[in-house]
Amino acid sequence: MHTSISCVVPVYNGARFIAEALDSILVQSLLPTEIIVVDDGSNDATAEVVKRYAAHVTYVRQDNAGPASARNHGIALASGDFLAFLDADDLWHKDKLARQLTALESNSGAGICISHVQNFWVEELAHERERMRDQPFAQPMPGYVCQCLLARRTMFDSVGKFDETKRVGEDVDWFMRADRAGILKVIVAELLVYRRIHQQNMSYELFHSQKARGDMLDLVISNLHNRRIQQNK
Amino acid sequence: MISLSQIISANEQQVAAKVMDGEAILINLTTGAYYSIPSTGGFIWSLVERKLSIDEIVRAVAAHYKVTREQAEADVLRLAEELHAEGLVTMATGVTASGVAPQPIGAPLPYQVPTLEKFTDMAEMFALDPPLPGLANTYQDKRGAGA
Repeated sequence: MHTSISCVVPVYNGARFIAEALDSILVQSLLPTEIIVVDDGSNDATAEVVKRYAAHVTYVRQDNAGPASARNHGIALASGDFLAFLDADDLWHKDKLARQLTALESNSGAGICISHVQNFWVEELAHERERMRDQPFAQPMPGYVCQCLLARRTMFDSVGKFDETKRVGEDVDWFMRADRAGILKVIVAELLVYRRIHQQNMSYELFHSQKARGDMLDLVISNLHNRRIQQNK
Repeated sequence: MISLSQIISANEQQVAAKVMDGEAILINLTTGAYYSIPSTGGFIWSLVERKLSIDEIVRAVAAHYKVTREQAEADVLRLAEELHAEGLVTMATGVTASGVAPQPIGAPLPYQVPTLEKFTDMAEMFALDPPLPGLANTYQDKRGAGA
């Protein structure tokens, strides 16, 4: 049976890196059936860069509404049985989709699969790379982020879409909801995703904002609440 | 060793906190660990956020709750040590407290020995999103903006 995978790439002002991201998809040992780039209202050269990939990529544009909204837009357009996501500044290992699909196909009870991920730093942040060299943040780790996810399409019906009101932690929120919905996950303990740290990472800008901290606190409070309900059962 | 004259304040760089129904919920943004400080402890945390001396906190606790000064002092010092060990507060010596403790309203409340409960079940999930505060500092520094 032919398995179809849709790959959604949300992008906001990603002209500098998106070609590398798309290249890392196009060299997959198991190619996705479709690649959907959702331009979240970029005002840089993103559209021109993506145009070079017109033969392989469906490009859609929306008014700026954040990564959760862009991913949801992509999910709505996707036709694959499986969904994968790659941020425009990150990279996949060439066997990312193949390894994860195998993992899901050999675990028919599991709905989602995540892989390990490792951060890497742009050259301008070489000093940061040095500073972080021995920190856990610089080592491979399980990735509870969309770049590392391969999900059966039906998971977005049972778990729902990404919460568009969150500016930070919308992935964590989704993974928590999946846990609560009793969705089984497979973790492929292989480094299949490389996450680029650069000055424009949106989380950087948002880190100090009260909204971002509030979103994290909401996640924790909701988790704590859930733990207490479980304990009292 | 924490002393009564030291000023204790939340480590704002590294900590997100919220007091809800008297319970303080804290996240250490660097480690991804989170904490619950219920009841009297939640009140103590709300005083920590006012940048008071340990002594002022002890006095406020003794004024608001049915507890002796001695026990309040021992418990506040112990909680302060625990918070400090977890990187959730900073201690300063030789400065004047900038905040003011609230005045008690009505009769003293029942006292509960303050506790700090730590959870690490979300640390893996928070490890990537958002990134470490140290990185955010770099970003802020580069823009020449303050945190």
